[in-house]
Amino acid sequence: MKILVPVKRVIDYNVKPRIKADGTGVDLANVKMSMNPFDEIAVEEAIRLKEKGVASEVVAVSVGPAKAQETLRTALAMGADRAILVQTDDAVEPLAVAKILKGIADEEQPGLVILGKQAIDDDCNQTGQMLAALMGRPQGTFASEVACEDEHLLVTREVDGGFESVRLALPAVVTTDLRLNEPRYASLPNIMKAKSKPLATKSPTDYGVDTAPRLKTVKVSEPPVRQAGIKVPDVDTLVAKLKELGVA
Amino acid sequence: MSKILVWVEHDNAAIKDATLAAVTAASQIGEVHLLVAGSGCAAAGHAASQIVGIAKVYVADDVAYANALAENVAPLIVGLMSHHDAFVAPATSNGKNIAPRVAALLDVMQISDILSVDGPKTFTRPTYAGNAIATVESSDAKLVITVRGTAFIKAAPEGGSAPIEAVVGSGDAGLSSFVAAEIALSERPELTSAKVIVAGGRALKDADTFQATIFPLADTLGAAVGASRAAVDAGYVPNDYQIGQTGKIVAPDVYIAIGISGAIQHLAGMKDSGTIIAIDKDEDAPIFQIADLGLVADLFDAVPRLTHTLQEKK
Amino acid sequence: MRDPRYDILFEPVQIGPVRTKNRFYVVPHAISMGMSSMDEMVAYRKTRAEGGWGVICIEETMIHETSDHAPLPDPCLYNDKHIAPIARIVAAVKEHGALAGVELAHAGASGPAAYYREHPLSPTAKFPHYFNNPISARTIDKQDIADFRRWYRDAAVRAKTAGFDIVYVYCAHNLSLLQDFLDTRTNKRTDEYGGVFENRLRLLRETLCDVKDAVGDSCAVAVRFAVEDRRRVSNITAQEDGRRVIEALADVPDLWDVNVSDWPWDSGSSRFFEEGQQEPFIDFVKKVTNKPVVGVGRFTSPDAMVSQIKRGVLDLIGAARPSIADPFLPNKIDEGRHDDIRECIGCNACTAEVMTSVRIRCTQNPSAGEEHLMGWHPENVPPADDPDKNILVVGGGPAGLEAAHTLAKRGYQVSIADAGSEWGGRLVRERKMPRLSAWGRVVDYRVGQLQTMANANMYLDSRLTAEDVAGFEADHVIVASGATWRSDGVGRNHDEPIPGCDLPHVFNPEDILNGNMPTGKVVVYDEDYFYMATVVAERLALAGCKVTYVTTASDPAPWTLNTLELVHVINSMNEIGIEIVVGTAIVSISEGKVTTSRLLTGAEEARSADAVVLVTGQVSDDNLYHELVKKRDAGEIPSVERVGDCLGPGQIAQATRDGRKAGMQFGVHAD
Repeated sequence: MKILVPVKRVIDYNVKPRIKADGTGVDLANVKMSMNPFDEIAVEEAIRLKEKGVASEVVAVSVGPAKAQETLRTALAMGADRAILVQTDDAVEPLAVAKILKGIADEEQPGLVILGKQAIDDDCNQTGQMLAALMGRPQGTFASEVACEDEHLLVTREVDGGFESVRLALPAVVTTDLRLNEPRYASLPNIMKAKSKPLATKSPTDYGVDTAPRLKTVKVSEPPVRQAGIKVPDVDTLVAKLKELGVA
Repeated sequence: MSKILVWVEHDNAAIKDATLAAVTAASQIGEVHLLVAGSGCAAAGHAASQIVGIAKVYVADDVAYANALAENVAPLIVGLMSHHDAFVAPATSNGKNIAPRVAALLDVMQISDILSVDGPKTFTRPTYAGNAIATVESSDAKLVITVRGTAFIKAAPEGGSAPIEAVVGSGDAGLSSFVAAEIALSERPELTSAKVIVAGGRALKDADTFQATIFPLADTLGAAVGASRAAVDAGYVPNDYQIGQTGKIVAPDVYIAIGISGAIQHLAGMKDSGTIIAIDKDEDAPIFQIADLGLVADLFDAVPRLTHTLQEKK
Repeated sequence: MRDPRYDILFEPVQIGPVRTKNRFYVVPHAISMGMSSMDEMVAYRKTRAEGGWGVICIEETMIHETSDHAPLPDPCLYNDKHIAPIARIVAAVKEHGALAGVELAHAGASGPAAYYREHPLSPTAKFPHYFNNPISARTIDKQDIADFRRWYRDAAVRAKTAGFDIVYVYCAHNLSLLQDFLDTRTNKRTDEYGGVFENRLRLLRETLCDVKDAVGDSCAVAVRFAVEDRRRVSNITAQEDGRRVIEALADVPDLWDVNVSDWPWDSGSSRFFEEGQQEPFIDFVKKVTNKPVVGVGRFTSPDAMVSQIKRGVLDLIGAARPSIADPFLPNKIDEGRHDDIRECIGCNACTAEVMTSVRIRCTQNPSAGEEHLMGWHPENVPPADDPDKNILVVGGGPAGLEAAHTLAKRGYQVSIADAGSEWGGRLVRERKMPRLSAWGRVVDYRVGQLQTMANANMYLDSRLTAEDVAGFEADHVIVASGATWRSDGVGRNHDEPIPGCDLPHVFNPEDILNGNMPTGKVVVYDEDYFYMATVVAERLALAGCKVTYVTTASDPAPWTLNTLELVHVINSMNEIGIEIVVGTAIVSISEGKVTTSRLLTGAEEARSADAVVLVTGQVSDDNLYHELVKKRDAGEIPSVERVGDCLGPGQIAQATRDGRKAGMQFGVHAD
C-alpha cells in the first residue's frame, strides 16, 4: 500500500506571529518556517506504518513556494521515500489544495492519505475532509490511533469529551491529532541523505486546478486583549462552572 | 431572504448547546432551517422545533445517521443545499468533521470557526492559534460556515414552534461504520496534547504537597499535570512539567492554575488556552487578569474540596 | 509595546534633590576592576545605563588609605587626583539618562589595609574579619574618629565634584567600619561611641549628617544598611538593632538601600536561595521611613517587581546580578520583549571572580566584564562578513548554543546539531540534580532565541561523524562536543589512576547523572572542588544512601567559597547527615572498603563502603575535533575550532565565554 502524506510549510511553531501594520496579514518576511506540526505527526504515522510492513511507499506532497522543498526534505529525512512539490507562489486555499491532492491521488493511487488535521497558520481544519469528499472516500479525522485490519482501517478519533472509533474502507483519508504519536526528529545526517531522494516538481495547472482564492482577506488584526473573567465565590460555584464547560 | 441550513448536534433527545450558538450566528445571515439527522431522533426533532427563531426543521431519521458519520450525513446535506444559501455547523468535532466534506461537494471554500458575522458574506475568524483575527469575505455562491460556540450567545431553546418536515437521504454510503465510543483514556494524558491541564506553582510548598494536592485533582479530571518554573526550580516536579516561555507551550481547552501567580514568562506558555481557571490566595496575582474563572482562596483548603466534590459527582 | 501592567516600573522616583527616570536601580556591586582598569569600569557601567536602568551605582569606593580589601581592587575617592578618572564613569552613565551613585566606604576591620601598608581601624582592636594577613586592626581613637568624619566629608565633596547624584554612607555586608560600631561583638568601647544603642549608632548618625551637610543640597544621600546579620548570632536583626537603626534615622537619609549580611546571604546563590528571599527581613523598612527604599531579590520577572512595589515592600527595584546577566532588562520590559530577557541563573560565577580579584564575569552574559577588553556588547554584534556563509556547530550545550546564537545574531546561516534528544549538553542532566534547576536557564534562553531565528537550523538526534561533517560542506565548523566525567580517579592530587578504580562498585558522576545509583554506604570523593561532588552526595543521601564525603581539600567544595556557597554547602550537608572528611585522599579501593590517607600525617585508615563515587575531573570528548583537524589539513573542510568542555573542561561560564568568542571572531579579519 502506498501512503500519500501532504505537508505544509508554515510559520514555525515557536515564532509569535506579527501582524503587519497595514493589517493586510501576518508578516512572514525573514520569519522562521517549518513543517506544520500536525503534518509531522502524519509523516511519522506513515513511516511507522511502513516500518510495520503495512505500507510499501511513503510519498510526501506539498503545495507551496520553492522553499517548501525544505519541508519536503524534512519529510524525506524522517523517512518518506520520495516527494512531490506542486510549486506556486500564490496562497492556496484548502479547497484548491484538496483538488490538487485529488489530482495527485488519481495518479498515485494511494491506499491511504494521512495529513494534519489543520495547519497552524490558517487553522482551517478542512483539507483532509475536502480531499476525502472529492475522492469519494471515507475520512478518519482527528486520529489518535490508527490500525490496519484487512481492507479496513480502524481509526480512534478525538472527539468532544472523549474518543470514538470508526472503521473505514480503504482507500481512506486520515487527519492527525496531537496524541497520535510523537514524531521523530529529522536528524542532520538524514537531512543530508534526503538530498539524494527523488523530488518531483509540478504546478497546479498540471492537475487542472484553478487556485484563485474564493475568500478575500479584508483585514487581519490583533485579537482583543484577554480580559479578566469573573471571580467565583466558592468551590461549589466553580464545580458548577466546570460542569458547564463539560470538564466535570 | 437567504435560507440557512444549520446542522443540529444532538443525542437523539436533546440539542447540544453549541448548536444554539450556531443558530444565533445563522440568524444573523438569514432565515434559519435546522437539520436533525439521526436514528430514532424524533424527540430531538421536536426539541429543535422549540428553539426560538427557527422557520423549519428537517428531520432525517435513518440508522445510517445514528453516529453523524460524515460520509453518510454530507450527501444528505448537499441534497438539501439545492434550496439553501448557506450551511452552518457548530465548530464541534462533529461539525468540523462534516462541514468541509459538504463544502467540497458544493465546490465552496468553507469559512471555519467564525467569531462574528460582519456582513452577508463577511465574517471574522481566528488564525494563528487566535493570535491574528482575519476578516474574510466569500465570493462563493453558497456559504459553508462553522461557528465558534463561545463567540455567540445561545438561541433560546424553548418558545418556538417551527414546522417539522421529514426528509430522506441516500442513507449509508458504505464507506465507514461506527465502532465504539470511549469517553476517556485511563492513563494521564501528555501535557502538550491534553484537553485539560492542572498546573501548580510555588505556593504548593514542597514536592510531597504538590503530589498530594495537584495529582488527585488532575486524575479526577483526566487532566495532564503541569507546573510553573518556580515550582520546577524548587524541585517539586521535574523540568518536563514546566509550562511557560522557557518550558512547554500549551493550549488546552481548560487550564487550571493553582498557586501560580502568573508571571509573564508563565503566561506566555498557556495564554492561548480555551478557558483559564485560577485558584490563588493573592487576589492581585496577575493570573486573575487573564483568568476566565477565578477563585480567591487558600489552595490547601479549596483544592482538596474541589477534588472531593468532583469525585462525588462522578 | 510596553504592557501597561508594567507602567508602574517606569514611574520616576524622587530621591532627595534628584529624580530617577524609572524604578530600575543598579545597586553598588563589586566588579573587581579598580582604578588601574578605568576603561573597563567605564564600559561596564555605561552598558547598564544604556540598557535603561534609572540609577547606576558604583561599588564600595574607599575614602582612605586605611581602608581596602587588597588584593581586591576597589575604586577610590580619598584623593583629589581620583576625581577626574571617576568622573568618566559618571559622565558615561549620565549620557544615557541614568543617575549615578557612589558607595563611599571605609572597610574598617573587614580588610587588612594591605595595599597602602596602613593599619586597619576598628572600634575595638581585633584581627580583621576576613583575610589572614598577619596584622591586627587597631582601636580607632577620638582623633581618628574626627579624621574619619573628615575623610567621609571630603570624599563626599569629591563625589559631588565628580558629578554623582547619589552619595552613599555604607553600613553593610560586615565590610564597614560603621557596621562594626553598631555590632556589639566588634564594639567593646566604653566611651560615647560604645555601649548603649544610641552610642553605637552615634558614628553612623554623625557621618550621615556630615555627608548631608557637605553635599545634601544637590546630591541624594543614601545609607546602605544590612538590617540583619545572618552569619552568626548578632544584635543586628530585623527585630532588634537592625530595626532600631532604621527607626532612629528614619527620614535622615534620602534613600534606604537595605539588605542582609554577610554577602553569602545578601547575594545568595540559586542553589540555596530563591528570588525575593530577603523580603521577610526588609519588609518592615517602608513602614518605618517615609523615604524611598531600594532592595534586591535577584528579580528578573517584571511581575515580581510590580508585586514588590504594589505590596509596599520596595520603591525601587534593586539589582546587581540581574543587571550583570542582562544590562538591557529595563529596556526589554519597556519594549515588551519579555522573551529576550536573559535571566540571571544565580550561579554566582560573578562573585567568584570578584572573590578571586579578577574582573567580573557572567555565565549567562559572556560580555559582562568584557565590554572594553574584548569590545563585546550584550546585545549588539558585528554583522556577518558574508551572510551566505554556512557554519556548523556540533554540540548543543552551553558553548555550542552560545556560539550558534552569536553567529545567528550576526546573520550567518547557522546549523547546530546535537547527538541527544534534548538541548543543553551537560545541563540536560545537571539541571535535574538537586538545587541546580535554575541553571537550565542557560539552555532555555539560548534555545528560545535560536528557535525563532530564520537563519538558525537546529537538529537533535544528530550524532555526526567526521564524514557527515565534511559532507555538510560548511564554511566553518565549531566543535562543542563536551566532556565526560572520568572514572579512573586522576585528579588534582592523583596523577595516576587510583588502584581499584575499575571495580564494579566504583561509580563516577556520569552514573549518577544517568540515574545509575549505588545503594548502602557510599564514599563520594571530591577532587573536582566545585559543586559536582557535593551535589552527587546530596542526590545519594536523598535516595537513602549513607554518604561520607571525602576530599583532599581543607574545605568541602572549596571553590564554592568564591560563589558564596561554602557555608550553605556545609550547612546543607550537615542537615542531611552527610559525613564530611577533609584533607584526606583515597589511597586505594577494594571490595567493601576504601583506604584513605590524611594528607597532613599520612595516617591511613580503612573505611567500609558499599560503593565509591569518584568525582575527580572530566576528560574532553575531542575525538571528532581531532578527526576534523585531519580533514582540514587534507583540505576536506575549510576550518574547524573547538570550544567549551571539548577544548578544556571548566565551569559553564567558561563554555559560554568560549562560545561567544568563537561567534564574535568568525569572519573578523585582524588587519
